[in-house]
Amino acid sequence: MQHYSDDELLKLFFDGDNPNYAFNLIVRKHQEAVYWHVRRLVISHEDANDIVQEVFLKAWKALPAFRGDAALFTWLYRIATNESLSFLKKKKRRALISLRDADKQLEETLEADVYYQGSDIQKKIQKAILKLPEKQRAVFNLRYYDEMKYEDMAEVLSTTVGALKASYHHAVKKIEKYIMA
Amino acid sequence: MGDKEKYSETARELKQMNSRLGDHQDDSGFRVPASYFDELPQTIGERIRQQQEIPASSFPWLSYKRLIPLVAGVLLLGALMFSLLLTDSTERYDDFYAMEQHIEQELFALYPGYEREFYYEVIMDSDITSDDILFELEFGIFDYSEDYEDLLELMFENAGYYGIDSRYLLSYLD
Repeated sequence: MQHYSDDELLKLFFDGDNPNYAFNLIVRKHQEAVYWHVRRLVISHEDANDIVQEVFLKAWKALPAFRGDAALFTWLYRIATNESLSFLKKKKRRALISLRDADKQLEETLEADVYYQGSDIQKKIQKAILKLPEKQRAVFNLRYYDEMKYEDMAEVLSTTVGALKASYHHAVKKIEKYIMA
Repeated sequence: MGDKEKYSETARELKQMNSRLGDHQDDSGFRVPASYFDELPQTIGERIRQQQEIPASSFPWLSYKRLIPLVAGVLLLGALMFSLLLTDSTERYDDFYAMEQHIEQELFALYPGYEREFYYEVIMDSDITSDDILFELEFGIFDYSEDYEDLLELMFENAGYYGIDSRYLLSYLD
């Protein structure tokens, strides 16, 4: 597949003859990043699969109104984050489970997931991440696994670089404490 | 920036925090079914095509999603008019109208990019849950802030009125 920049893909979408084809290229380019971000938040592959499809459907619907103030990839991450957090919120509400039990339920999902093949230490890190509040999990995952710049994370999570650095620092300390316990 | 450079940036940061987590950064342990990423674009493309193929109704505004707020709005408007008849009508109408004006002015002042038509369109197309409305409005099209979210929550609570105010509804349907 030819490698297009996001600007080229947007131009192809807006000015080209076949927006569906252009959007397909956008999906191909960003699907993995979006998927892994969602998957680390919702844990189950099936849930992540449903959410990723919704993310791209919403992006397709909203792209004509995309003003280009944000980069395409941060915009997609933002939709993915909101969709995942909203999914987790709805799931909790539906199951009438407390916040405390929510991370236990995700832990059980992790243990039962046939598509999770982490080593002992990887699993322990995942379980520690699940102890974090949801938004802090998103912060940690974006920085730790996706190695996203704080400036981009600020766009995705609508917060300041300083707040993100503090949140990430605290998350690292909490995870280490859990692992060492 | 290359992957190695990126890795060293975040790994360096972890080192500065005296953390050893940097040793496990490369893999979280999650896997996907075989060929998943080969098939996903096709699945998404198929869903988009299905949405595109939904035939346009002769009365597009009469879909169930729009009918619910429409009925709610008519009922609300009816209730409002009934209450206006029972009370000091001028005062009540002024209060009600002033509240709408106030919220809209506030919204326009805070967010110059606010598009009235788009807002109503979103209300009409949504399943009328606050999560959905906030989400639809939020991604990239408007600037996000907690004030804005509160404002939208407030507007959502009054969606029956703000979403389908008869004047805007008529202009929208035209």
